[in-house]
Amino acid sequence: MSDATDKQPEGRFSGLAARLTVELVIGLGLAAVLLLVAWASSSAIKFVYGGY
Amino acid sequence: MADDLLARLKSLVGYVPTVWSLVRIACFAVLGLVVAGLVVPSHPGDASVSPYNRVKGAQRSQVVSLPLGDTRGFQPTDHPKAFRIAWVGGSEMLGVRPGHPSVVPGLVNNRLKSVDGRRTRTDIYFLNALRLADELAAVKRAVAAKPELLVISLNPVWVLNDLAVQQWGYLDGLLARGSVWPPSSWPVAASLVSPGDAGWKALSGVSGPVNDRLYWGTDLIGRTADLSFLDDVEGGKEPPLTGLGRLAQKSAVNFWQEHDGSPRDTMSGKELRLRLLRRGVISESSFNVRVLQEMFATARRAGVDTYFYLPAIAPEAYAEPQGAEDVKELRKQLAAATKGETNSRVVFDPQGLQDRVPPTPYKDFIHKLDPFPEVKVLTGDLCSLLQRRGHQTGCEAP
Repeated sequence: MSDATDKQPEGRFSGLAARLTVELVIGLGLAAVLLLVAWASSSAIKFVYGGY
Repeated sequence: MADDLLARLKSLVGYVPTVWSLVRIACFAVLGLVVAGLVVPSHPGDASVSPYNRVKGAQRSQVVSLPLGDTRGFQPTDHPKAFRIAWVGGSEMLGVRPGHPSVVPGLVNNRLKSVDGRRTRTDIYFLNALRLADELAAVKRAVAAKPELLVISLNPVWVLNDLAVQQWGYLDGLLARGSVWPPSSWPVAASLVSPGDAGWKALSGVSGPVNDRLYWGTDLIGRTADLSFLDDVEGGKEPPLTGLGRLAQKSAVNFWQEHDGSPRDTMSGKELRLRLLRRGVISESSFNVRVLQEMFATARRAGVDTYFYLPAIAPEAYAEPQGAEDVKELRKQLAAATKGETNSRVVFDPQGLQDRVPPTPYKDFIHKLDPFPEVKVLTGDLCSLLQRRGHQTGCEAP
């Protein structure tokens, strides 16, 4: 990353890299939260047997 | 909290989100779920655990229902060399003789023997207390598995009964997936499906661990059930239920039965069942009719030979003047509801099996002790349908 930074205008690349890194972390965090909610809510379905 | 986080990100790395940031975050989240699907082991459902797979008639047929609460619903079998039949229905298609349980679809399957030189195999989409909307979800799942013959049982007590159009809400995701197209499917789906049902089902298509969420959820609960911030109290007693708590323990059907003016305490079981049948007849539920018509439309669109049938109620109940009158009215309403819904491939006789199956002992209003008289009639009807559709059958003579 530091090599690439040397070849690019400092502000523009570091801004894009930081932006994508932040968004990647948020996106993966969101995926993890979705998985946990999916699992945690799966057995929360309540059954009432109609009996007939 | 989001504002604080954004302010911190801005001060730390100069991050300011745009509209495109949301798109990229969504893409990264989907990517994360796809990667999770590649990393987390798959746990397909096991329908063979159903106790109805070990009863009479289950030799070449299988109940494909997954355990209650599994939003995958059903696990169709894969027998590419067989003539594949899908049969959808509730407990009315069981034989319930004590010590000798049986499944009507399996018994019929064995009598059909072979079609076009291929042995028949039947996937049974069975759930206890299956109601009409649950049945529609099962039909949607069944046609997606591309059977060559589809058979659908319409329980006379529930088919037009507004007391309970749905019992198993966890099947709503299947209903959503099967109702994406055409738009004519949307009204029924929109009446029952929540955004959560549709969203989880959509994510299930992206990521295996979401699809297998009952397995992983059960595992997670098992590991974390003992974790609590609350103190354990030795010898504590639960407080008595409040009125609402007692209400929550009742099924909706029983609640409405108790509050529809019936002198419940003085009625026999047979009278209660007859009243339930009558409720279906007098309710004139337009929503049930709409769900029923959607079931027929689904079968027509699938282009699969389909046989709908109305099983008989117990002969003793039919012998009652009120029982006979209600069955007559039910036939009339079903004929009106399904007018124009059938064709050469999708067949239904609103008269049902009541006058065609010889009287046989029942356990109660709808559950047969001896299913064989019905099996004979159904085998004959399905043989006739298959032969009319140009198939060579190895059916036993009815």
